[in-house]
Amino acid sequence: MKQKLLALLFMAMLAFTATYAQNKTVSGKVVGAEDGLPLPGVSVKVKGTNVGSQTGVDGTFTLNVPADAKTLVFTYIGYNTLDVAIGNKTRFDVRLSEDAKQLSEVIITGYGTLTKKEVTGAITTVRGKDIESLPVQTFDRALQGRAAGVQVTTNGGQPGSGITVNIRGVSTINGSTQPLYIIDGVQVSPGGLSGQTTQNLLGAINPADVESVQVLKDAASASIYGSQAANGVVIITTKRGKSGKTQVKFSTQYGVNDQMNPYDLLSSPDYYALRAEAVRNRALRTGTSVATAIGALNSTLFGSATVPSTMVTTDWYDAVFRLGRFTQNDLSLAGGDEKTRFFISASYNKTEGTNLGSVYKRGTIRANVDHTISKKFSIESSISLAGVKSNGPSTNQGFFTNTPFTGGLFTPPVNPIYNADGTYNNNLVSAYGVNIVQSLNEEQRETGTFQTVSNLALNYKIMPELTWRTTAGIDFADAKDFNYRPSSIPIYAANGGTGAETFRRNINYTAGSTLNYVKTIATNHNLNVLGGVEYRSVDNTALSAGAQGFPSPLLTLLSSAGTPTSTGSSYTGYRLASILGTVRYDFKNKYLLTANVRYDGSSRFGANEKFGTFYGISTGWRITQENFMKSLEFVNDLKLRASYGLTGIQPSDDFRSIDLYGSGGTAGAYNGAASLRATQLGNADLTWEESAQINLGLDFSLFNNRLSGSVDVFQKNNTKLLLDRTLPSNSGFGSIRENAGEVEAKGIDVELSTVNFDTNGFKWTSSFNVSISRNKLLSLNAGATRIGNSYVVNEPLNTIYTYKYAGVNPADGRPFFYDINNNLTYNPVTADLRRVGDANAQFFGGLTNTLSYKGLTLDVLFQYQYGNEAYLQTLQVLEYSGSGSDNQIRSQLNRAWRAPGQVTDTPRPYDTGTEPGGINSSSLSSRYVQTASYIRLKQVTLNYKLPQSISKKIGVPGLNVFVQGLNLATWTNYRGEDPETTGNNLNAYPVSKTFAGGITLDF
Amino acid sequence: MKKTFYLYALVLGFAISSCEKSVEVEPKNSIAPNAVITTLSGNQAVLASAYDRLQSFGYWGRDMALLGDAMADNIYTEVNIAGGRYTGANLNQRGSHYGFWGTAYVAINDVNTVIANIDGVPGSATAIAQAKAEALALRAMVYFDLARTYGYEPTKIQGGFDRSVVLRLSPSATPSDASPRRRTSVDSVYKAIEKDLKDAIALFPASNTSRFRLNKPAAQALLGKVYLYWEKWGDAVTQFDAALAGTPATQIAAGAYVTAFNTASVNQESLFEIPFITSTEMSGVTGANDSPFSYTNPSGRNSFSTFGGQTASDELMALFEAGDDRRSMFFQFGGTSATASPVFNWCAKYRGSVGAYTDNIKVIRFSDVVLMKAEALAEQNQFQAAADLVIALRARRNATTNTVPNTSAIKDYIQTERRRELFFEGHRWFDLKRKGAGITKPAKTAVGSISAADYRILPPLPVSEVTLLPTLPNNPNY
Repeated sequence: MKQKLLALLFMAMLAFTATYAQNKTVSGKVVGAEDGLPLPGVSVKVKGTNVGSQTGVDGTFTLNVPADAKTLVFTYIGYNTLDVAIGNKTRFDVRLSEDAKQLSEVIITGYGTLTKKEVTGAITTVRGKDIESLPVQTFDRALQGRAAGVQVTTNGGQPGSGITVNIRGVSTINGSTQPLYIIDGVQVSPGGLSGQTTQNLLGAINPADVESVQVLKDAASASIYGSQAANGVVIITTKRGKSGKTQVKFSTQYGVNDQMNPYDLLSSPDYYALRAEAVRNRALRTGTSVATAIGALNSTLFGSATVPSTMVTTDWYDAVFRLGRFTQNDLSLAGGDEKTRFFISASYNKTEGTNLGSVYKRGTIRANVDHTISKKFSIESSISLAGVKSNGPSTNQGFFTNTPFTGGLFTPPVNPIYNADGTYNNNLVSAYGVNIVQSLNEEQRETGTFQTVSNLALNYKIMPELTWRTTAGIDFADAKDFNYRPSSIPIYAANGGTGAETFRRNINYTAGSTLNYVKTIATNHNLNVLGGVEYRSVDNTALSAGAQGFPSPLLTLLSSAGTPTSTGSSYTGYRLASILGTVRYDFKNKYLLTANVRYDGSSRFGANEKFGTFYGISTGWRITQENFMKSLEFVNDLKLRASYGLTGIQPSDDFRSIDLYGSGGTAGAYNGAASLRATQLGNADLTWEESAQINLGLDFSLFNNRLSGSVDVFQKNNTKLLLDRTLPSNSGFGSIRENAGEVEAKGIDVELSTVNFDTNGFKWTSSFNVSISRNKLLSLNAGATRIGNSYVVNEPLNTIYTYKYAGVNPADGRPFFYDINNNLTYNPVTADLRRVGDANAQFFGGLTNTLSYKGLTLDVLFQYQYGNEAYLQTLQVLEYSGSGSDNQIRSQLNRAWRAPGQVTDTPRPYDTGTEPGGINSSSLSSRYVQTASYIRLKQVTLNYKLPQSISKKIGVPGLNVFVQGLNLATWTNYRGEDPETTGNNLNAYPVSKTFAGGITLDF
Repeated sequence: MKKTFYLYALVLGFAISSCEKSVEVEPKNSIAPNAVITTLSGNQAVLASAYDRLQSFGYWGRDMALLGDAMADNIYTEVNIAGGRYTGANLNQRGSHYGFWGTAYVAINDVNTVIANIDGVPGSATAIAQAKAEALALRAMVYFDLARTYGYEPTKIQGGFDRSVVLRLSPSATPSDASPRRRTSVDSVYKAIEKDLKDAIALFPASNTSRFRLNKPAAQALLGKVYLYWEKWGDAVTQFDAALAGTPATQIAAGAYVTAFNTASVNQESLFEIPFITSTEMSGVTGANDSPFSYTNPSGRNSFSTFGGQTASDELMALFEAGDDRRSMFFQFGGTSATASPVFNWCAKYRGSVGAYTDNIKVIRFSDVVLMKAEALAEQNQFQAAADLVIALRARRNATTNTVPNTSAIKDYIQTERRRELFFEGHRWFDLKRKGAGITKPAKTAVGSISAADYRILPPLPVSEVTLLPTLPNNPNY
């Protein structure tokens, strides 16, 4: 009350002073420089005084200024502050320009907001504006190359498919490597919902609705999310309305996706020549008749002992691709008055993948409403609904039933797709019994999903300094998988066609309540204290059935099948209860301190370790606020930051801590008798993996903000790793999960933004980011020094251990390898395995250049990665010197060894691939491991905004026309499908090139 | 304001106190061990699980019933059409071998659980005895499979390597039960198998049960087979006699060999047979990918898509006289169509007799027992008695009987007769191995011959086992 009185008195005095000194009235209108629309709520002040006012909903203001007033200052959050000389003028029509790197940019830290200058942790922001009109289906894809330390890897080219996001590298072995996603306050579970194709759960959010994406990278910032935060936190905020005239925005774009084909496959004559060479070499080596062997080959390939005079070549890889079209339409309305503000949007996206039958369709609607009920009460709602339907080949990598590219790549070119009468050719040679084009056209794989991520928040101002906020949010998804394999496909003919349907329901809700106390004490001490509780509950259920024996390929629903084959019903879930608190304090905006604490209990933790405490502390020093810096005028801002925090990774299995017996289901029954079996040995001590991280950072802004950026150095140590202690398989169990071991990771993230050129309306800005990091496995379970070939103590995670390829013996054309003593051998043994690389990038990042002149803007984004090794699993088949019946790539014909003394890396063709006394020439070795460094021209967008003078004439205040392209060019030596898609990459769905054009209208 | 704080603190306190409960979730797809092992039905379900493990394709579902022919001399794998199936095994490539170690031990853990817990659970004494007897016999059978695959036979130790498998006779109920152990000697494993079978035979209730489960005559036949591998000939004959006398199985009559294998119900010769259900165990692409049918039938025949590449070797075909019933089990067909040359000799023992891609697996068969008995007699120099058994069998196959010797030559003759009778049933590899005779591969494989001392006679142990306990040890040369 006292404060209120004081404030009132103070304001009265101001008013009095102002009135006393008045001798001039000024007025005007403030609009945004980009769109020319009025800006409400802009602060207008006389420089050096407290005389000021705010613009109204129409952007206009009126102000009485003292006679001696020289300058007006216009400030607005998210815009450049503008100083305007008053002189003799009384009318001020001002255009404010938005600023990307403004210090007053709002940063959302989960339970509160702060401005960039107050940040003491390592937080990267991607603004919705930069990604809203990209032709991508999910916003996480748009993060690629834009945020330092955030590595985004696509898992393949299926539209709307899942991706991998790693913040500051991977430091865990069995724990989740994915960050915690929070969408408008709701903790959502990333991943996929589809069992038939692939569908990214984050697809529920239309990228055009995103206002900003904040990435909390350091542990101190993320620690407010405790046991889920060790991989960082990604906070997505959707757009909200502003008071003022309703802004209507409509945008539409249309484009095509085109395949990138990295493989030069053999034609039929070339294929035959290579095969015949392989067969001949083997016959000679084994002392059998060459003529007989060639005759057998001819019979297999052509059905007769003689070679036909003309061979038809079928490019099967090309046959599984097409030009995919896509269209994306967005409509939004934003506006409101002082009491109620709204943002309403709708969108429709239809994207055809480049693979036959792969389609992604999504419609979304959203209504975000803010309403001030009274001086004390206000509510905020974020309501969204998305319907998604995905069709197409299943997950992105793998063998036949999982990917069409096995058939596309491996099927010998001598097989035609169709018979002479137009029916599918089902008498294929060496095609694993599948005509892949027929499969793609006739098999149905579909997932339909409805999902909402919605939240309701109620704010109650107990006192001006104290706010009580209660939120309840839900992330709800229903998904239905449908699969139908008609009897017209021979491999399913014997079963009369098979069908399967799965219905999944995921219910994930978050509810919480916080008290926030904000106060400035004695003008210099700024205090912000927050405390609260939160509860999260996740329940996932699935119901499935399968059947076979369909009377007609046209009847596809399970009820028409003759024989039910499987039923399934499954449940999993977890609960998380938390108490959290945070204290933020600064002295004169100069010395900053933030402390977070969270106490988490989780059902995933073992009975002995149910609860854990996580915390973080960070400090900042704004050096530019010191007096001694005042003379250095070129330094606009300089801030030193330091933080330490402790966060966790939860066990990813919901029930891993308890002993369990499970049923084998229908397939696990014996002669109709249901079975029960021990499925795991529990561990009551199982608990979170712990990650401690130190971060040192420097933020700077120099030369009138023309050079700004930040540098962060971090070290994180993950201990109590979730590890599987190997049990002897003769015990009946493979492993037991426990907490042990340690991984260390260190790195540097750099972000730089520059204004390279800004004269006469021509502006060129760049922003560059790079992340350099290293990790090392320090220890494993007691006594263990390695897990398989990927995790070896004192080496980086995800090492690639295999035989070292020594090339081809010039004397006889056989592949040889180095043994452990670096002697050459044809027949390496287990002891000769060695590290030939690791899957961690040494550095990666992106570079954006933006050039604008008048209404024309060109954005160019490059993305790059360096130094990660990857397996080339597809090439184990395609680079086999024609030794098997699968099709080969041209290098095998051109480079295979043929004459003594020839130095090459490709062994001589030899049918079966295994010469007596040696191992198979396609055995995994460093021959099939390659560094997957690349630079990719990820995005080019050219936008033209029609001058208002023209666009207004046709009744559209804002009209933009744009063309853009994605993945336009890639520079790499990598021989696989795509250097972005590494890891398990057998026959992956390559990402496509995208070309699009569109139009945006603002009313 | 203070009041609000108190209220809030109260809410907070309430939240904390109910925390423990609020973060508990019960799984619904699984249950705790105690709910299983203290009941008869629970133990029976665990026993069913052990039987189910036998159906794994890497074990009795296919490999034990077929791989032995491919790794020995009955099968020639046609690389161009086999889709990679058995192409390495047919050439006896390093590491291309049996690999059912893990499957066998999860089955052993299942039966160990039953044997350790079933005594004294509430329920019928007969049912308890039945389940326990089956569990003991099953444990013996799985250990016998492990012992004869992963180690040498007691009298055929090569290079002094006498290690057999890891012997676990109690369940892994806690992590400490599951601590690593070394392999025990061949002798002690054979003794444990013998004991289990004797216990089981004594425990089986009088009434004969389904031949789809282990039963008393099957256990006796199995014990006889163990003695045969152990070269305890007299004991073997005793057990075989008991088995043949007690089983409801009968020998196939003349002219009925092919049709006897084309029945959806239990084969008349089976003492123990593993049934498969098409709708649940061969659904989707499972049958086409993994079934013995898919391996041994050409793709495109009767519009079935398969990975057929396991053809009868020329050497096997040469063993049959024109009139032998068993020759009719083979048919000629091209790789993917009837006409495409070259045509191959295919074996129709797996003909989808139960359903699409589905055939039951015959683990112990009457004629196998007869031939094993003949062998045991011959080894005791009872050549005439041995010859009589062979003659009787050949008469039932419409094969000539005048070529059957009644001298010591009958020993070799019996082995060849086993080949003629039991081809494509997985026996050949083990017959050659236990005789210590080495393997002469089909000429078309160009492999030549593999001596009994060659390291490839034994498979490698799983890498993870050896990594965990190098002194296990692995088999030589791996």
